Amino acid sequence: MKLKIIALIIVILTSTLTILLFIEDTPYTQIIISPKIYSIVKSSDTESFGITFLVNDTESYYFNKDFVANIFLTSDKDEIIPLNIIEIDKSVEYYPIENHKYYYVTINLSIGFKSDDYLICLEEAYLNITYSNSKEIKLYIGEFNYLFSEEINSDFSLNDLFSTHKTIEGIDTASGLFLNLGNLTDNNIVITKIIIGSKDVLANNFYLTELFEDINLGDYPKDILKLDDYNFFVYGDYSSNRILLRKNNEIDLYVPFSYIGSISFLHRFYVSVEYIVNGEEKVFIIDDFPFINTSCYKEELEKGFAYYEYEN
Amino acid sequence: MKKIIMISLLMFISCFYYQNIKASDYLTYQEIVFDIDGGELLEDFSYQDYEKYYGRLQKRRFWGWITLVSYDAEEVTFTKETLYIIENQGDTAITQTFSVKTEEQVKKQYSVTGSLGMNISGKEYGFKLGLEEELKYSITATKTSSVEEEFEIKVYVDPMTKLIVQIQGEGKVSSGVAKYYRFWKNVKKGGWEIFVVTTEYYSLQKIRIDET
Repeated sequence: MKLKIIALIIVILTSTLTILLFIEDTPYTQIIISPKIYSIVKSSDTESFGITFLVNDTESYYFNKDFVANIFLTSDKDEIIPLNIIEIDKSVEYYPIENHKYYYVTINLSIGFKSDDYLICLEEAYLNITYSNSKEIKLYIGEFNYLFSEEINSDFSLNDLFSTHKTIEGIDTASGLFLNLGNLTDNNIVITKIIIGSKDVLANNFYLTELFEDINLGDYPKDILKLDDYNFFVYGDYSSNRILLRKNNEIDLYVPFSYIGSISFLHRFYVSVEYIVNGEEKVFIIDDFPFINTSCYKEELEKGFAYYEYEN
Repeated sequence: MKKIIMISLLMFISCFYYQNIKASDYLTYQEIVFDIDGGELLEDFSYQDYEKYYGRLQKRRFWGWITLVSYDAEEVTFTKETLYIIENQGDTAITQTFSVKTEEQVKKQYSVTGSLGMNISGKEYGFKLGLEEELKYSITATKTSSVEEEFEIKVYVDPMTKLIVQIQGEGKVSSGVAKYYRFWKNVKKGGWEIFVVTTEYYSLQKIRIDET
């Protein structure tokens, strides 16, 4: 009887060990990233931004802050922007792709230098991380625009701000910008141009117009501008309209967007209003605002995902 | 005459029929409108709705759930409560920085009625007794994520104005009824609902404070 029990234990142990031998550790860390347009104004000392990606194994050292030796952004033009890691967030939530679970990891970052007036504009930005074991990863994150601007503008009051939205080529995205500005100066102001913090998506100033009717978030640019049609993919560097904003007055403005780059959606962005007052050319910066709050990880964006695989 | 009495009785019962609802925050939204005609939230299900849906459930089982999906990821639009941000009742303009904490695609939210249970917080957030696992085979799979981002915005607020942020959005609603069996005995039954926010649209508005 004892022999039988011992034999049974040996069989169970052998089977368990055999099974364990065939279970392999995850040999690769997979990273999936949805490139997007980052459009940020540094308006305070605590300004930070997050880069989120999907990974197959959140416990990998690739996502451990203590193993990171250096982190920076680069572009295809050899620009280097140093970064500081604030923290790395790992989520228990996952996004399924082809029956595999990929978990969300967000690296919260700040820019590694200070400035009062400087624009970082990387049309194709890569996140580079080097680790204490000398391994390196390089991830394409999309377009990166970061404006240092802590100047307070007291010429305007910003009274209303929203973006109209439309599904363009299957993706819900910002289709134009509506804003109401009040003139706080004792002079007339001439608004010459509206610029949004992006190179792939541009404010089409040829159609910059003063509005005299209320509009809604879901209204189409062609209806707002009273056009037969509006083509989101055509943009010319036309001379801008000049719109007069008299002193002690306010104005409703609308400008539609043009999609001319590889990234075809825009959710959060900053705005620059160029104007002339007292013969002086000036700029009013509107801090980045979450006009559309949605995930960059969803089915309609999957075709734009970038896939990476790194040895453990 | 009998018919009239029966109908009156049914209407009388309907009036007093009350399904105690346990729900996430979305039921506090100002407005939720279905894209389809006649769509309704679980909280609006009537006695007749429940009777109709229970009648469609399969026969009892030895152990576990039997479920019915009445709305399968139906699209809705909603208006959330207005977020009050800054009020300037002074004589001079003020500049302030405020931060809005948002989640990229808010988590799923849940409601139940009857004797169905749900955990409203913590890691086990969701339906009790594995109801959602059972539903995954019947409702359209929805990919969700919940990445938090904080936005810091600097604004200039004129005297006697207040600044508000309004949130409108789009989401998907799935709902139905379910019964839970143990040894062929129905021990729990009620309605369930899953609400997924897909997109939120933020707008900034400055409103003059009434001086009266």
